Amino acid sequence: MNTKKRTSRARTRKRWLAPLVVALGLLPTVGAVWNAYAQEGDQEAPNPVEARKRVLAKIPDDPSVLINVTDREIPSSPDILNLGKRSTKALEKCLTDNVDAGIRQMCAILLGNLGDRRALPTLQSALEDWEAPVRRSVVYALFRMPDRSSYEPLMKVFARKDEEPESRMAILRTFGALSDHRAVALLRKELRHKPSKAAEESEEGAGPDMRAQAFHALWRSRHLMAQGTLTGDVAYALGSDNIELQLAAIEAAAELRAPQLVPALIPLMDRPQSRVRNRAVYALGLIGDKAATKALLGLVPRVRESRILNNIAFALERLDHDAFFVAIRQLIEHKQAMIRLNAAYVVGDVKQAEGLALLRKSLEDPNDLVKTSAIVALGKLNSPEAIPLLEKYVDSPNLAMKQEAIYSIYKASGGKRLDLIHDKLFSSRNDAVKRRAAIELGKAGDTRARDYLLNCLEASRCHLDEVDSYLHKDKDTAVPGRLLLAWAKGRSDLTDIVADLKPAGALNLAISDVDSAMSQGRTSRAKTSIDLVGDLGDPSVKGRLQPGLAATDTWLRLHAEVALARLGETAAEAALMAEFDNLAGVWMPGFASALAKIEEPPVRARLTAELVKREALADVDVALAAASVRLAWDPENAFFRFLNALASAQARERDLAERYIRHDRTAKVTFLLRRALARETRPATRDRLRKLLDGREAT
Amino acid sequence: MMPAMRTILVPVIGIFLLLSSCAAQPLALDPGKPDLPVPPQEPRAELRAAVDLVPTQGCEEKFDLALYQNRSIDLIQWDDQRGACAGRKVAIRYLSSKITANQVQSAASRLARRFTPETQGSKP
Repeated sequence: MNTKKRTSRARTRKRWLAPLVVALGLLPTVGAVWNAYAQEGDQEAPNPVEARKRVLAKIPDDPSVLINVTDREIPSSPDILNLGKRSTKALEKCLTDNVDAGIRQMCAILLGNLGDRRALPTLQSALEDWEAPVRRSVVYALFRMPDRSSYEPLMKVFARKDEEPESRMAILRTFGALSDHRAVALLRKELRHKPSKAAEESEEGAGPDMRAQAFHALWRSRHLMAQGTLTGDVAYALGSDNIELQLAAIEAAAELRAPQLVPALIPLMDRPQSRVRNRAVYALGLIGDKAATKALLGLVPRVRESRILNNIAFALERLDHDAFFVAIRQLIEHKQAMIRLNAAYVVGDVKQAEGLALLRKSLEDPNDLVKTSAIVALGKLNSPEAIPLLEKYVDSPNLAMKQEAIYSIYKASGGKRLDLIHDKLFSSRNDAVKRRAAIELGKAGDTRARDYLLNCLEASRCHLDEVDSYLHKDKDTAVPGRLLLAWAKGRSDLTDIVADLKPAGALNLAISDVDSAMSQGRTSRAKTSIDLVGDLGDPSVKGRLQPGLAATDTWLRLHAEVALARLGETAAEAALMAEFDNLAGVWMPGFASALAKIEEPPVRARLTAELVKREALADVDVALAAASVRLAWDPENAFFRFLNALASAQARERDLAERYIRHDRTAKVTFLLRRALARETRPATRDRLRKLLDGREAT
Repeated sequence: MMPAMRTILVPVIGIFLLLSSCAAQPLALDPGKPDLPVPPQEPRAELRAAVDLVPTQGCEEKFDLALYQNRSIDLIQWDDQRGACAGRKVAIRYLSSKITANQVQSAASRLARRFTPETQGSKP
């Protein structure tokens, strides 16, 4: 019995011995692993700000640096854009190889904003990305850099039945920018593709109605279409049941001014939507075809809103002078005061001598607002015969009538009755009355309004536009001094006028402001002060601006380069042209505005040759930015580059040219546009010139 | 004069007379060509005037578009009284080798209610 027990215990010991030995053997390894985890927990995580800085610094030289970044390390969009086209290769790799969809999307958007066409093949491939937001951002980038080579890859995505509606809409928009006949054919087909109700109600759904989007895109490519085809498509759109499509078509009809569209526009004057009615009437007025006269006259008795009544009146005045006066005579005597009021307003705006008799009648109206409207209208006729009718209101107890009568007399007298404005209005205790009078006195150069206008500007109760011409004319030394003081207190909006007037002490103040703003990181203020230093034209302070050349902020650097170029630093001129070649496409208009500030003839002469070279480049962002600088410097010669651009085969070049011309509000460009319009024979170009001029006349 | 010389001279003189008479006439509308730059060496002169335009919407623009149909008109520049049709001042620059000041005045007067020239001068 004892032997059996001893044997059993020995077997049990042997069973546990092996696992124990193994465990003891593994102990050192377990210890090492445990220590490793413990040490890792003790180390500091990398600072995200530092991480982003390190990545940013590598982008120009290491195309792979964005492949493995996460949200933690990716630099901000403005910082990457700051690098300009040096970041293109890294962004391309990011788009193809980063696994984070949000980061790929950001890289696609940045590539679009850069406008570097070397990235086109990468972008076109990225249309196959799995994520819809990434695809949409790629489509946006291709819209910014339209190229016919993008048609096929875009079409492949568009044709997919499982593609998201938002992406398809974005693709339609991009098709419009391609200036490609294949795209035009597709857009015309989509314009007529109305989703059926059954498809909309089915489980799969038909997606949104994209006809309006197709029309907008087609309109962008209208220069590729025969006039008859284009007019036919606009007529089709006018007759559709889609309100957004109709509105777009009405705008197009107004631009085309094709008489063939009158029959399609007339029924729209009866639509329940006010926007549709008003725009249809406006378009009929612009088209100017007498076929619309009867319909417009028929609408007059049924009108119930002032805006459309005014639009009808203006349209009639263009179409049929006699019919207009028959209609307006009825409206001046209408039973409703609101209509009589608007009729008086219209008579003033059409500026016809026959209006005087009608407005005389309105002055007898029982309603004071109608009378006031007639008083204002009499001023617009610019007729001395109106003065006796207005004199009796100069002392009216009704303040509105009194004011308007005085201003109308002033206009009708050709500016000879300034005394009335000063004696009867500027002396008023009502600040609104006083303010208006002061501004009018200022426009006439009357120095009695000086203190008021300066106080008004300093307190930001008057806008600079309202007093600018006065402040330039008044030679009193108080004016530039007070403006400089306001500028020093932070009124950066006064920089240009301080530069023009050059008050004593401006240079020292401006250069000290540069030092202060730069040391405090106030970039926006630093740029303004740098501009002023450049304007003041003293080369002795060049050295104080040199630190700006090393700024990592592109805009600060650009402003420093412009100022230094103006002060005679030729190295800054070369730096400016180098910026041109690297800068992001979306930043070109701002760059052109900064460069346009250069006034010094020798600097302009040296830079002009470089600008003319760039105007001929295929990259329209660069070409038209260069042209816009020259438009500011030498509009008469530079204008022809824009005329060619408005007639370009590329939709993007046309659109960009329109944008730059719209931005230049100078009278000289208006005069040049008129000459161009008078002589233009290309229909699409003529329409664009007409639209540009209409925009200027309206403001 | 020898007969051979008369044979040559008559057509030459005729051509000369024809060209001389053409030079003094304003250029007619030249359809088919948009606005094109005129070489800087082309002589220009300027006519300044006080103007009352036909009172209507867009009176200033209407005047310009009509006058520019004549390609000898180089540039029309107005004072800053935008919107007003009466009491305006205008400077009309024209190609003086192709049109005379009187012809400019005549064309402008037909388009305005009142056109009173102020000064005439030549630009280099």
